[in-house]
Amino acid sequence: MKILNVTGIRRLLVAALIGVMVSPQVVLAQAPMDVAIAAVHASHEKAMARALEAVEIDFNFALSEVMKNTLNSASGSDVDKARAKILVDQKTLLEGFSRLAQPRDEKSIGTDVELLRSELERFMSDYQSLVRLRYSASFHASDAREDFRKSISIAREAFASFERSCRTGRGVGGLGVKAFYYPNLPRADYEVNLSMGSDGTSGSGRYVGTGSQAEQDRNTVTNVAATSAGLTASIAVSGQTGAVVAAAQAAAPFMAAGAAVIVLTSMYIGHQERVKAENELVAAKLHAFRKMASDADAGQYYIEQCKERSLAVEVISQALETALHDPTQLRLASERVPDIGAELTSFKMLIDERETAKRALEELKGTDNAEKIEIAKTTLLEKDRLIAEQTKPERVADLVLANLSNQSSVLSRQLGDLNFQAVDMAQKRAYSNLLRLVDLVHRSSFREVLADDGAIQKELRGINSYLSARALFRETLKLQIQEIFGRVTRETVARSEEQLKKAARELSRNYLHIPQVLEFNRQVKSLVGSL
Amino acid sequence: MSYTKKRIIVEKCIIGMMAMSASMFSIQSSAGIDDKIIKVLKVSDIDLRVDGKIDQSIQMSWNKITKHRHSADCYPLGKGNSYDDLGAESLEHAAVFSGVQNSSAIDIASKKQKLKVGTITLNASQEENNGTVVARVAIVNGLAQSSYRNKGDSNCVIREHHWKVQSQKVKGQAQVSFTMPKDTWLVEMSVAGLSGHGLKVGDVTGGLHEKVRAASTSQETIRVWAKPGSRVRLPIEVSGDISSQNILSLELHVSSARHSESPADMLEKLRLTMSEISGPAAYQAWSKAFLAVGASILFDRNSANVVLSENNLNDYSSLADWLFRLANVSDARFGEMESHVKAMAAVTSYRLSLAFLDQMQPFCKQVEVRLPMTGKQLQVSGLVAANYWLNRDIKRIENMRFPEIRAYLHEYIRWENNGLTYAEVAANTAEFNKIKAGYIKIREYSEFAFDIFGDARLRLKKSLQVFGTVGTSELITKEIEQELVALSEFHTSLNRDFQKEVMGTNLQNQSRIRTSLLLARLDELERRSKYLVKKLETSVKFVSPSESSAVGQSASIVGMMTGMLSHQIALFDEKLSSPFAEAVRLGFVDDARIKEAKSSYRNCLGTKK
Repeated sequence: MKILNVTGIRRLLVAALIGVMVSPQVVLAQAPMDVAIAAVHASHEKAMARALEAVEIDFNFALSEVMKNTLNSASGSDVDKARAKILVDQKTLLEGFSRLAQPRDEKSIGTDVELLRSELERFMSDYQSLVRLRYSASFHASDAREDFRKSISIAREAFASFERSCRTGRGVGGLGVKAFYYPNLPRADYEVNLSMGSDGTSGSGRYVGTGSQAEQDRNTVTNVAATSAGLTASIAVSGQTGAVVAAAQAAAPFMAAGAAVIVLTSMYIGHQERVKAENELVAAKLHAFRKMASDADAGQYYIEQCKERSLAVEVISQALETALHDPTQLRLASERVPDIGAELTSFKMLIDERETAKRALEELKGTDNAEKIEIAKTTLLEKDRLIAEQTKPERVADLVLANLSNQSSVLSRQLGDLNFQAVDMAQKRAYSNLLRLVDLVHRSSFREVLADDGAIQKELRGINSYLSARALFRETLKLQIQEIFGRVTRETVARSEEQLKKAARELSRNYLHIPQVLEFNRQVKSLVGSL
Repeated sequence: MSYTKKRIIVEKCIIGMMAMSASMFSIQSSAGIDDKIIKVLKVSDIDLRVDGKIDQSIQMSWNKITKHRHSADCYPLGKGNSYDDLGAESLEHAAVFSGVQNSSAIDIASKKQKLKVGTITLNASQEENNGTVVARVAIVNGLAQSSYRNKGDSNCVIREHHWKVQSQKVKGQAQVSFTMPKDTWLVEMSVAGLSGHGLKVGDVTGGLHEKVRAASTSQETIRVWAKPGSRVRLPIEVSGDISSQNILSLELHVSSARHSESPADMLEKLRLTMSEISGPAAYQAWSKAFLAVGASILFDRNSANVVLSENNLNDYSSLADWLFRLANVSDARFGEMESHVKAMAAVTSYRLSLAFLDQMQPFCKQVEVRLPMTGKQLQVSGLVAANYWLNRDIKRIENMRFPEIRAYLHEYIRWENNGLTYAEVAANTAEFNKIKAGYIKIREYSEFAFDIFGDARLRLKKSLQVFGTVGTSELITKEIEQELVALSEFHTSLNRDFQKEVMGTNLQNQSRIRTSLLLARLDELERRSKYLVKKLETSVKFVSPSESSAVGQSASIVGMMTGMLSHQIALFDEKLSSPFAEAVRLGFVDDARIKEAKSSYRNCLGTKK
């Protein structure tokens, strides 16, 4: 090693120290806030992408639910069942009512009240059973239609749910990080290199301090270097700080004081820089923390993404509304889908494939096979994409309506074929028979008292004779008055008087116990003289 | 109901149907200003509640910023702020709520700091709105990001904790429930303003039908058949990631039947206009109006009696037939309303039939009849008794003729035709003596001076009081009684004027004779009593067996009863295979009156000895 003179050495050392120590670097490639803003921006991009994905998934789910339920109802099994039941019931009804409508064999029963009563009991019971069956059966068609409507209603519920989410937005379940996702901001590191010079004869050291640890170290160095006596003692300082001091000491112990001043100066400057840089960093981190996208933002993006789909949503919604509330429009839609069978099959295949993919994913969810789950997810997304591609909302709407129209017309045709009128007529005839039978029994019951020899008839006959006699009394009175005015002859009056006397005598023979009859007789006597 | 009245109703109704909007609410709203409203649905009638539990899971992240004070006392050289990531945590919470008028707030305590970081609040309110109860339920979420400061151990350090909600999930159920009001079997519900993500409105339970699909949009109205007093529930599920404050917002409208005018008139209107309607909207409107009328007949127990008393038996018979057809015929034109219309037609006719049979019961009981002419006393069915009494009264009224008065008045008319005055007749001694002699005879022997129609009224009233004074039996007696009262008054005044006529025949009375007016009144009296006899004869037909031959047109009580029992009552008598119809039937079968009505009927018709 070449020995330099002291001055030369000092100069060299100072130059070297200045050269290296005055460059404590705060390594910030970019301003932290810029990085934070970029990170915030990126997170919103991500939220937007996730929201779009969520809208796609939800829309496809709603769409496939609509299709699934529509296709289910297309199977026609309910309609067939209802039709079969209606046919059987109508046949039973027709036969039953026709049987009851047969003319009764009145001779075999005759007019025996007891027999009539039991026949009526039986007849009434049979008739009531058929009426119940008719009422019950008349619900089959509406029950079938109701089942059919229910499918549409379920489909619409799935769609309405999507529409509601579109209005209020929804989260995406976090943006994929459990803890908060931090941007990769530059660290405020502090680096000091010490070196003896180009020949490198003496020891060298390097120090990299970060954050609060660096601050502590620097304070230690400052404190150690503050006194010359302490400088040697600083050997005892351990770790990285020790290395810094040892390097300086080893380089030129006699120059330590001067070097320390330089070191301290440069370190103070560096400290202020670092405080500033770290404050900036903290502010940037807080900004990122606050502004990076959360689910609340994802929800807003969801709403915005939904708006893009408003036309499709409207078309499908309207189709479902029409299906539920305005069946007359169905026929128009059916004309737009000429080959409904083929289209239904191809739609059904798509929906089935999606269902399979969805089931596969659900089965895997419980396991920890991440790779398979990922594959299943991709498959499902691919099916969704296919459905979205091939099922344009307008076509879906047409298909839903055409299918319903098809079903509705099938049911109507099948029901129209049935001869309801025949049942109606048979029932009317049966009812007529029932009434006749009731009438017979009723008359028989009445006969006891209302027959010619019945007590009531006798009473009514009695009342009749009394009232006839009274009418005769008035007639005679009239004639007597007319006689006063010379309008009738005495003979006419006398004839009437004789008739009245006869009627009064007749009356008193049978009903003299009645006070009114007694009183009447008295009046007659007074009017025409003795009876 | 007179023909003219019916005609006016038809015309009004056709105009009304044209103007009717596609909802029964138009009918309801007009009822809002109508004094005739008897009952409307009130909040207190339905005891609305919201109960539920919502589990909430919040994912939040935390950080801490430590600030050092730059001062001679603390850090003379200055010391930068530091940032610590405190990581993330997931908080679970269950919000339980119950009731309707209260709202509950929930504190969530973080592990980092004991702080209130969020609330879940239930706000439920309800109001009466023109007969509809509107319930509004909102469950909102009060989470927000925020910060918290505290000083360190010395004055030199300040720590700030910042938290942020990254995402949150809710999962839970709320249940809106209410009680079916008294005498209400059908309520209409609509769900308006339903919002919130991941909401699922479940099937309505607690009604006669196991599950009723709830409305998914506000345009849809759901109809729930339920027994009065039962608890109807509308479950709502919430599940998913939420991004806004709004967890659930729901507006529920519940309306029940109300009266706006006589149910008899409304039913008649609907019957007459049914053939006029076409198109889905008109069918909807008609169906809604029909359901409202049916429900009001069920709602007000007296309505059935009103319907009966405002229709004569012929009209009522047509009404019953129409309801029977409506209940039994499947008609796709009613759309979603079909089942409800059919069920309501059955239930309404069932209620009317029971009322009819209730009123007919006296005719089926044994009644004691005294027969004065034959001196007997009989125990006969009410039908036989009514038949006898009406026959007897017919004969009596038929007999009310006054040939003697007529003959006497003809003499006056002869003088009137000769242009004589009363004084001129009185001045003629011969004629005057004839007048005197004739009048003495009339006074002594004619019934004309007695209140014979008044007596007949009393006798008829006494006879038929055994059949009650309301409803159908009233139909038989009421009009007749009214007419007898009118005839009695008419006759009394005629008698008074007749006497004045005779007394007015004196030397002082220089007026010309005008007896033809009196004769015209006598003609009218006799014409009206003849008409009354015809009415009585119709009434006899009601209680006689022989009027039951024409199908569906039977005007006899026997025929009507047969129709009621074989049609309406039969529907609710045994199990039905249609699930919808059976559920409605089950709601009504525990009515003890069915048995009673059937038993009386058997007694009355004589199938039961």
